[in-house]
Amino acid sequence: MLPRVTGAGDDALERERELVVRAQAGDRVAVGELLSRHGTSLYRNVLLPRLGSEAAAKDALSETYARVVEKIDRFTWQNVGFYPWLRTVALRVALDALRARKRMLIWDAEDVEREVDATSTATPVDQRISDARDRDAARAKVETALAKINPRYAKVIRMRVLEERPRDEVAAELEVSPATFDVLLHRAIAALKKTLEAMSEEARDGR
Amino acid sequence: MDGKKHPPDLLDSQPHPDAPASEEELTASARLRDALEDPSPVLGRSPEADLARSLALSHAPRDIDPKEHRAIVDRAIVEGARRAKKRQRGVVIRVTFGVSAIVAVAASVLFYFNVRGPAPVAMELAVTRSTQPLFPERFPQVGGESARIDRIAMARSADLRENRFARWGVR
Repeated sequence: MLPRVTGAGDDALERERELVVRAQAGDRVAVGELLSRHGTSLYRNVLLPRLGSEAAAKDALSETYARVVEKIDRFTWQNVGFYPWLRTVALRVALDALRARKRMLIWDAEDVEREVDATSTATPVDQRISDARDRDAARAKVETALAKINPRYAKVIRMRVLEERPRDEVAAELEVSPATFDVLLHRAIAALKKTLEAMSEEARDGR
Repeated sequence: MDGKKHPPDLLDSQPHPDAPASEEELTASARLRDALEDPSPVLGRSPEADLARSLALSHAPRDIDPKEHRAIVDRAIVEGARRAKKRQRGVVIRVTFGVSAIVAVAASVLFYFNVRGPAPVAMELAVTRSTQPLFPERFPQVGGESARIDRIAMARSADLRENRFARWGVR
């Protein structure tokens, strides 16, 4: 379900603007309403894909909200609503978390850094468009990485990791023993890691 | 394998899927299996499992539990308000400190100029000179020495006082 403000008319935007004004005047109920209406989408489409773990994404969501409450007086209303600003704050929090972690994930700090840069030059868009773009970008990233590894490895990852099918079932479908399947999956993940590292380097060189 | 679609250097560096597994690979595979089946995974315990999960969550992200979300919102509002208050206090302290510093500098500048006082344009100081102008009348043959000494002392005291006033710029 989309938040009420997305794709809504002037009334919804006007209602949101009023909430922002109240929030900037120190009304905690208004702040809570603003965060509640956009937060779930922010978590699902922005933080979770980039941070790759529910625990990390929840921590980042919490930090994003705290920063928003702290700095809401600096927010300037634009006619696209509150979400673009919230998303930019969330991207900065995600960037800090990725820089601190130094682990190989599907997204790395430099990817998010490019996104943060883009928010400073791109025109903010409606939340529905922003969500769709974020979802597409995350899926595209996975598909690009899988397309670069051995198709058998990609198949193993799709069945076991993306579709979350049971190990024995996948092993039977691939006509290998469960132990052999474990080795296949291990090699597939190692190949994916190598590919992601190479992609990061390519992106860095192409900057 | 589709050699046309994939950069050959990347694919060549990957082990063949059906190559025999080493002991090391068997151990690592078992570790990954256990990590993926762990119902409460801990970040950083298995980098391979972390990568696999991040892949899954990028591909099909899940919703947050509404109750948990509400709790995060409530906690963050309190924390954010605390930070805002702390920031404002910091600003007040910095402003107070800044203003105090400016006032102190201004006071010291004023003090400096006040102590020095306005430089006298041309100080006319009494200088050492003859006592003859103090005695226009003729001296008696005998007596009157103490009165003459007193007159000289009084005149020189007045000169000294005038010179000091001149130096201080208060004449």
